[in-house]
Amino acid sequence: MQEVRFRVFRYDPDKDGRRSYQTYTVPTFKGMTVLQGLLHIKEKIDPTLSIRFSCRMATCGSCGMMINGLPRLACYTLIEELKTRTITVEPLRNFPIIKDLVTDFEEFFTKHRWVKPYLIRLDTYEQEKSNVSYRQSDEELEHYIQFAYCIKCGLCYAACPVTATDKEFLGPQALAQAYRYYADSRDEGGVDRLRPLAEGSRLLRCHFAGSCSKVCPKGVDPALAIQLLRREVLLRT
Amino acid sequence: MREKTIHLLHYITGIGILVTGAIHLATVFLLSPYEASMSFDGHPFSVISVYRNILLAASLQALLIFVAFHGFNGVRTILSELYQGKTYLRIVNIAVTVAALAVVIYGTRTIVIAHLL
Amino acid sequence: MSRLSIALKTWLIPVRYGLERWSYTLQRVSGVAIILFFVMHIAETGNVVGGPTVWTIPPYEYARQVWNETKEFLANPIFDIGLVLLAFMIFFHTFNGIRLTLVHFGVLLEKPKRPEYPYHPGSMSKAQRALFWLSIVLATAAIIYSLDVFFKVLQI
Ligand code: SF4
Ligand code: FES
Repeated sequence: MQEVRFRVFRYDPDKDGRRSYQTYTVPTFKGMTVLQGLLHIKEKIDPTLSIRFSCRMATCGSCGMMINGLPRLACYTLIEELKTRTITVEPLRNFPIIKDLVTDFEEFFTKHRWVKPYLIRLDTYEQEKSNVSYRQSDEELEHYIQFAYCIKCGLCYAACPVTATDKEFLGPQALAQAYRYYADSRDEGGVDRLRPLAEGSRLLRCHFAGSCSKVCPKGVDPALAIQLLRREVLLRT
Repeated sequence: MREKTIHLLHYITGIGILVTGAIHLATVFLLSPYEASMSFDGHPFSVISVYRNILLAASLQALLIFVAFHGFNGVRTILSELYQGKTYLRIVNIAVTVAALAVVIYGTRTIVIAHLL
Repeated sequence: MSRLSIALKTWLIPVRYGLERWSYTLQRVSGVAIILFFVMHIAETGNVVGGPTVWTIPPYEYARQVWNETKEFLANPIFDIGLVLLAFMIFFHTFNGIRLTLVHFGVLLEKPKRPEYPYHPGSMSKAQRALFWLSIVLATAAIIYSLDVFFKVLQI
């Protein structure tokens, strides 16, 4: 059986608060994911290791972490495909660390909520009470469906060089969602959605470094959404 | 100014630099040998001849303003991405505006006096 | 201070994130280089009329003499090397800037589509990447041309 070494970032604010790396040797099997490797460590070697995961199938978006320097989902990354004997796992960049590989998504979700990630209708009575559904053609669906695939895993947020230092910038995930709802034919938010984005660093600090789209595990392409959103903001507000 | 207005001006000054900068490079490198453009006078595109030509001087003046805006706005963007304290951002805005104005004033002085020389 | 080190690391080390990240870093570095040159260039050309203390029309011969002294000072291979590098920076920043302006308005990018594995982000379109490479090519051509102008090495 083949073995790989896991170099795992450790941090425990309740113990000594020191940041360090600990190395574990893990036996592998064909088709083993990084998450399975980490679970092996937690079950068989070191129960103090903290990780966050749930679905194990790239759907819940909980297991994002830096794997060999790139933000990836641990459950979606095969040990084999990394092609290294030592795998370095660290918590996601641009997020505060809670413990070991677990990061704090508070700011991330605050920004997500800030863009109003829900349908805005002028007639709210209809929205709450009606039993007829909103009609939408296939073509209208194509305008935004790609961005609706987002699982809020935060990988794009960890990859972005602007979010790294600019706390006012909303980040690729929230901006992609802003465009997702703006482009939805059922949404009536219109220019009111755009206006707040024309101010300050919220949207206009994107420099198209494309790193978000590079790491997104669901093919959401936030960089595309942000440019389409920026065109609307620049031309319509 | 609204961030969006500044953002649009960044594109517009960029396109302006493309045109006026091309004229500037053409007069220095393409329309006459480099040595001739660097000499004080005596050639059609030597230093003082360029400044005395009202169209070329006006184009240089435009280039000066465009680059000052575009460049210092770039500096402001970079500095504002570094840290987001309110006072810090206000200091950055003022410092960048003052620096841009100083460069424009000094450059304008050169162009105007050299034009009249 | 740690904010500054994070900034320098993420801004200046573009590896692993692909071509668009290189474009981002190069655009930023070249922009800073150009603005520094611009300020020095305005200071240096101020000597055409006799230097920073002159605010009225000076005697013609005086201005001419100051400029010739400035020219002698500038005739230094170190400055010439700087100008050659700057030729690259200016041409790259210009043409990549055109690319970025187009991209910022959604031009050159593909339309949103249903994501199907393996994903190919429409933002990493061929058109947009071709323009990046074009700006690299033009910037390299500018280096070659300026080497010829400043060092007479090629004799084109
Ligand atoms: S856009 Fe992609 S990378 Fe970003 S949070 Fe959504 S699924 Fe994750
Ligand atoms: S565990 Fe759900 S996305 Fe990895």
